[in-house]
Amino acid sequence: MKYILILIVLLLGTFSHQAQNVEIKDLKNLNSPGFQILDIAPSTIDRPANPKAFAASIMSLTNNGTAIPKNFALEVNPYWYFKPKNASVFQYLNIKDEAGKSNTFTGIFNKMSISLASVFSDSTSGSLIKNTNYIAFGLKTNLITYRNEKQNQKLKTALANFSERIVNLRPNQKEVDALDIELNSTDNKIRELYKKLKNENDDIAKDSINLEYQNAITNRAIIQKRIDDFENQAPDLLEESIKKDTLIQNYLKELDDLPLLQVDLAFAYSEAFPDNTTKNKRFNRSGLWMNAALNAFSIDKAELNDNLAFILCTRFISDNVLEEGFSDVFKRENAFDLGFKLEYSIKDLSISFEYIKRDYSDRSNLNSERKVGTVQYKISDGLYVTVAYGTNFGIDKNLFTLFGINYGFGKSSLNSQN
Amino acid sequence: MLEFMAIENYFIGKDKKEIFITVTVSTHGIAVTEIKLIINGNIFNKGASSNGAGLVSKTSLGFASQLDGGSIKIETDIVLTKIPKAAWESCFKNLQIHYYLEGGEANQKSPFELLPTEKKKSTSGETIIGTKKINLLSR
Repeated sequence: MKYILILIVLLLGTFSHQAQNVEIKDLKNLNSPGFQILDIAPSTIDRPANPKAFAASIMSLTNNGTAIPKNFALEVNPYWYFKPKNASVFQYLNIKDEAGKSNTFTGIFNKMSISLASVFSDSTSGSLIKNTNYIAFGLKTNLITYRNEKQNQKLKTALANFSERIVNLRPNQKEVDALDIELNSTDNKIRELYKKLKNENDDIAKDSINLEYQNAITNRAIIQKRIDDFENQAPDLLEESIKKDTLIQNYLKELDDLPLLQVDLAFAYSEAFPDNTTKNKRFNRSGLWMNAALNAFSIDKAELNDNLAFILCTRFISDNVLEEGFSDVFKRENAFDLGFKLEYSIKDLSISFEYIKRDYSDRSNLNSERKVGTVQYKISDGLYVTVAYGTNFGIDKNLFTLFGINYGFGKSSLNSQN
Repeated sequence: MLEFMAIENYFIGKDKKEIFITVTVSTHGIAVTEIKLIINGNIFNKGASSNGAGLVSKTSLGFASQLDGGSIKIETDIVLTKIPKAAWESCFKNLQIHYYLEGGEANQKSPFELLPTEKKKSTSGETIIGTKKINLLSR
């Protein structure tokens, strides 16, 4: 437990300045391994994506200082806090660079995320037991992101077009160019006068040169100030032009094209705290899993911006299962999950269905399935509606329902129906 | 004179050697670099990156004998739209741009680097502009 608390403090302490910048859209679908190991994430199989630098959902972290923090989620992508030596957009978007170097495996470090999640279960449902706080630690990374030659070329062309276009959007170019010329002439004049001043022996002539020299320096400061004023406002003006420019927005949209194949690897470990105290804490579950997504199909990519993804999931689980007839006797069991998800997205709407079969190695009576259908609609940037319905893992028929506005986790409900 | 001395200088020498520049940018954002030569009351475009990574491979600025008194201005625009918003501040802090000048006097500083005061960001942090000026001088 103390390690979990230390980790919470470290994550909050290190990234607390970032937490202030978290927006609702950063919390969309906190499908972090920490939630997935507890079977409560909106989707157990998620399509690999670039992780958020920092996302947090803290609902009641402190509990007035009387108990273990509960109902929170933290996810950080440590890569952003280091200074990369040769970072490039090719690496980030996994595009083959100009030298022909493939960036298929660059996600291992730059897309690695660490997550910590807590869920307090006030009723028994699926593998979750009543009045128990579950705290999970997760680690996720992207092993492979592969784009075929056609996709590489499309993205490179979009980047080239972007580069060409942005030069024309730079603000106040004529004015700044004129000032740069004036500054260069003044610098040369100052240099000349300085040489003259050094070589002049006559005091009267020296005074006259010095006066001219001082005037040139003053003039230079004025020119520099005018250039600085333009340069200080340039980023905001450029950004405004980029937002308004249809062409450049289209090039940026083209960069969102999904890669042909993505493979993610994740690990998660969780502990359970009955009555939210450390007294009877126990190991809950750990798991290692891999998701492979194939984004190979679309009806009309150009017109509809649609995509059909097939995602395969395999997962090894070590589970602490409640012994039949007991309320507090648990036994470790190993299980293997195998499943898939089909997801069709068209513009702002995505419809998906996932199926996973869980087989226990020694106790086949515990074997179960999860079947969940999800519909998600993006109302606007950062505002989503997610609806999920189906059955969750567990030997009883566990109904899984979720209706969330803005992001997938916060408003979820997990109902049990026997 | 102090303010004048603060500008970075590259000594091009007096012979007819050709002077070259290479620019490398380290960022995950989309970067576009443009090099301008300012000399004798004119501005010449000496090259621009075209790949989205801001890289300008070895490019000739001209011969030393024609460059004395000129200055080069290298502007790099970086757009972080595709990067998570929470990482924009880190991208600004961690941005590295190196300017390699070749062909001038031996044993000079190489590479020149983008200094903290030479980078500016928009209010949102989504757009960064790095501007480097180097005087080309013979002595």
